Amino acid sequence: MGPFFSIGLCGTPQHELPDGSVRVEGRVYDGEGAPVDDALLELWNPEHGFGRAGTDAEGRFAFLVPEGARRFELLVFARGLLKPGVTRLYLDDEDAEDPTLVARREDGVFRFDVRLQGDAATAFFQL
Amino acid sequence: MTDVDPPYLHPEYRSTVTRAPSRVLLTMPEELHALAGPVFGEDAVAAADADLTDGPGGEPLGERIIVTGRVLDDDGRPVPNALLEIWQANAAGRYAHNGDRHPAPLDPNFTGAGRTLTAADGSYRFVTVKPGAYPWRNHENAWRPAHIHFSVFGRALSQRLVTQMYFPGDPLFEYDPIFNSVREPRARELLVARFDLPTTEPEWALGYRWDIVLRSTPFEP
Repeated sequence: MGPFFSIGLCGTPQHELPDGSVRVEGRVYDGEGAPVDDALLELWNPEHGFGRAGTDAEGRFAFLVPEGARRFELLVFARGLLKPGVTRLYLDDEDAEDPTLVARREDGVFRFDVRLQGDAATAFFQL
Repeated sequence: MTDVDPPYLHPEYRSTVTRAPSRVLLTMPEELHALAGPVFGEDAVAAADADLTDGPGGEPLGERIIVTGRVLDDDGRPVPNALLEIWQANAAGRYAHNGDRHPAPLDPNFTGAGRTLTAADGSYRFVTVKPGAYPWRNHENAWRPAHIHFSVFGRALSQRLVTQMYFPGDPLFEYDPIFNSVREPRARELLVARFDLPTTEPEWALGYRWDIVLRSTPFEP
């Protein structure tokens, strides 16, 4: 979708979901291990609503999600992704389809990286 | 509708080589396919947001155009209340973005961003200026055909779409790896708006029509 989507899609910050208090943060990496600085992530959840965050120059993103949220659908957009990567973010590993979909809690913050390629590549779903 | 979608990996578009998801894709759980999309109310979208020429400092330079059409599912049913967000380069081919280094002029009266909700019959209408073609560094002497980026939220996750609308007869089509990442020629034609005289307003703006077809959802509208 090109590198300049923030013109159209990031006009209003939406990284804080309704009642968001728990921080979920991470980075997006490409197949060479380089940070993806033009990614856009969307969180979807029927109960907890919708969130959207772009990555910064170091590929970092962050969301605030409500306490008790266990799972979000996650869409990843970026230059070089001809269609979104469709995956899931688990804040609890009970039902995760793949270990790469589980965020780790460290000092009260959930860490979750997206790796588009490589040995530790994130699992994506066929939509 | 997978035959109309591009693959993730399309090496002619260089960025896909290091960014296309490399693992075999997991099968989509049924509930994920049917997941209802976020609902955007009319309070989130002002009517003025659909007019990209309505800047506070005056009108942008360029060829004023109307872009209109309908959002439908692939059974032909209109999709009402779909959020459309668009972004584009200005008439000189320059994005109002810090990352755009193309030495073409910025236009202080043009941000290039707009949004709207579809009406009950699935229709939408934007007023903007025709974007310019611009160079990019994908390969030697690479130029993108003029296009408008569209982001669409339908009713379900399966109806989330981010795509690009092109203009008829662009001589750059055959050289553009992004346009040609959609392998099926018939599907590529669906990316191209058509000039429409009835949409054109005399003494004011040229009209283009472009319909957007989303997958059908497992549930009724």
